[in-house]
Amino acid sequence: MDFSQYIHYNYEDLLNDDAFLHFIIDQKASDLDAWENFKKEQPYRSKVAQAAFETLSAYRQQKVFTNETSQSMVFDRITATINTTQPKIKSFNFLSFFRVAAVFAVVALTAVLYFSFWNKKSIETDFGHIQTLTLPDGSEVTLNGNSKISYAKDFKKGTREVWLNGEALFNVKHINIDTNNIKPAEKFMVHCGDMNIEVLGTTFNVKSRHDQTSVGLLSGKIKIDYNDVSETKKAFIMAPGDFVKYARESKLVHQKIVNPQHLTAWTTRHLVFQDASLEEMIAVLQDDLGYEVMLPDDELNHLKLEGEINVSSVKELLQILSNTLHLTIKTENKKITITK
Amino acid sequence: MLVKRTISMPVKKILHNETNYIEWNSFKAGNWEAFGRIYDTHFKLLNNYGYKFTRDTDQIEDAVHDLFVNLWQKRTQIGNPASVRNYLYKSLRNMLFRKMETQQKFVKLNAGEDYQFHFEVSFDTLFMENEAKKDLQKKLKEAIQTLSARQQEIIYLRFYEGLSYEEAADIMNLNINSTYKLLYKAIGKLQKQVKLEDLMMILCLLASEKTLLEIN
Repeated sequence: MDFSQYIHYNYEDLLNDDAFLHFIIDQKASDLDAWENFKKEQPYRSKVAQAAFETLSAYRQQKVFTNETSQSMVFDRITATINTTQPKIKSFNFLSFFRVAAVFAVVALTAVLYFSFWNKKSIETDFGHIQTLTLPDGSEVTLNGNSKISYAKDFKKGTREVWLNGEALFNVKHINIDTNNIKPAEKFMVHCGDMNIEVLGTTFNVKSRHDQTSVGLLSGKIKIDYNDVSETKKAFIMAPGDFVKYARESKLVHQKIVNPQHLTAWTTRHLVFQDASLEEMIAVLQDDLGYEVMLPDDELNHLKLEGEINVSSVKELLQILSNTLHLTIKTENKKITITK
Repeated sequence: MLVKRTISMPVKKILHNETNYIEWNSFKAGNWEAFGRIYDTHFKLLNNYGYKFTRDTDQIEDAVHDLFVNLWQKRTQIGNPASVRNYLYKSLRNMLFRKMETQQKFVKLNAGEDYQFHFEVSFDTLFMENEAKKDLQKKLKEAIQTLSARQQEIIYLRFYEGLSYEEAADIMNLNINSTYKLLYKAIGKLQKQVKLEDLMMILCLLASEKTLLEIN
C-alpha cells in the first residue's frame, strides 16, 4: 500500500477512505511495514494520518460478546423447533421412521429413568434452606441451599456412592480400621461435575456449581480423581487443611485452608467472605439463597472488599456493601439492584 | 442486566469467514450440515452485534433462534444475498427490534412513542498499551456517547465491521443519502469533541515515549 497518497488528506477524508480503513482492519504485515516506513520518512506530513490511525485503532479496541457457552444449546433449541413444525413436509417414510424412533426413545427413557430414579433416592434443598441428613451407613451430610444429593437405594451394598450438585459438608463414617488397606466395600465416593472424590473416613466440604468444584478437607484423608488440561486422568490425595479448586479440564489449584470456620460457616447460616469481590458475593446470594441480583454496570463486579466479612443475614451484608463500597442497593422481595 | 450467567467478554476478535455460494446453495437445497455450518460461522458475530442493542442475553438468544428457524423454513424462497453476514445482521436487527417493541408495549412504557433505540459498544480499557492511548480512548468514548444511537450504530458498522455506506444503509433500512449524512454528522461531531490538537498532543506523547524507549 502506498501511504504517500494520504499526505494531503485531512482527518475527515482519512476516516472516509475505504482503503485506509481496511488497512487498519486487516493489519496485513506488508501494509504495516509500509506504514512504519511512511511514518519514518514523512514524520511531519504523516501526522494527520497517524491521528486517524490512532483514532480508529482506539475505537476498535472493544470488548466482544460471543455468548459461546450457549452456542450449542441455542442450536439444539432451533433443531427442536424445526422438528416439531416440520412433519407436514416430510414424506410418510420419514413419519414411520419417527414412529419407530419414538418407540425406541420411550424404551430407552424408561430404562434410564429406572436406573437413575427408581433405584436412586435424592434429596433437594430449596434456596436458603439448609438440611442435615443421615445416610443409611450413618454418615452425616449437611446440604446448603439449592443443592441436590442422590444415592443408590441399596447404599450399604458395595461401595457407598453419592452424587452431588451444589454444596455440602460431609462427615463420613469410618467402616474400616486399617486406612492403608481399604476394601472396595469400605469405600465412600462423591461424584460431582467432572470430579470424583474417594473418601477414606473424614470431614470435608464440597462445592460444585457452574462447572466448578472446590473441596476443603477438615480431617481424615481423601483422594480426588479429575481430568486435567491435557484430558488425562489425574489423582490427588488431600491431607487435612488442604483446599483444592477445579474447573472442568483445567489445572487443579491447591491451597491451604486459612480459616476452617470460614469453610463451614454456611452450615450455621453465616455469610463469611475473605477479600472477596462483589462478583463472588453475588454468586453466593444467587446460588445458595435464590436472590436475583441486578447489576447494570458490569465494572462493579470487580469491586473488592479487603478483609473479612462475617455476618448472619443478607441484610447485614448489603448494609456493609453499601457503606464500604459506596453503592446504592435496593431490595424488593428477592430482587436486589446494585448501582453506583 | 441479570448477572445470572457470568458474561465473559474477551478481547479477541471473532474470526469471520464469509459463507460462499456453494455452501449457501447447499443449505437452500436442504442440506442440514451446511445449515449448521452457517449457524456456527455466524453465532458469535450475531451475539456480539445483538449485545450492542440490549444486554438481555435471553432476548438475543431468542432472536437468533427465531432467525435461524425462519431461515430454514423459508430456505426455498430466499435469494442469494451479496453477503450472508450482512443479510443475517439485518434479519437479527429486525427480529430484535420487534421483540423489544412488543416487550415495551407489554410493559406500557413510553406508550405511543417510538421504541427506545439503544446502541452501545463496550470499550476495552484494560489492554491499552499505554496511558496516552488510554487517554485517547477515554476522549473517544466521551465523544461517542454524545452521538445519537443511530449515529453510534453507523460508526460501529463502518469502523468496526468495516462495511461500506451501501451495506450499512441496507442493514439499517436507510437510503444511501441519509447514511452519508448520518456518518458525516457523526464524524464531524467526533472531530469537534476529540480535537485535532488533542490528538497531536497524544501523538507527541507516544513519540516521546518511543524515543525514551530507544534511549534506554
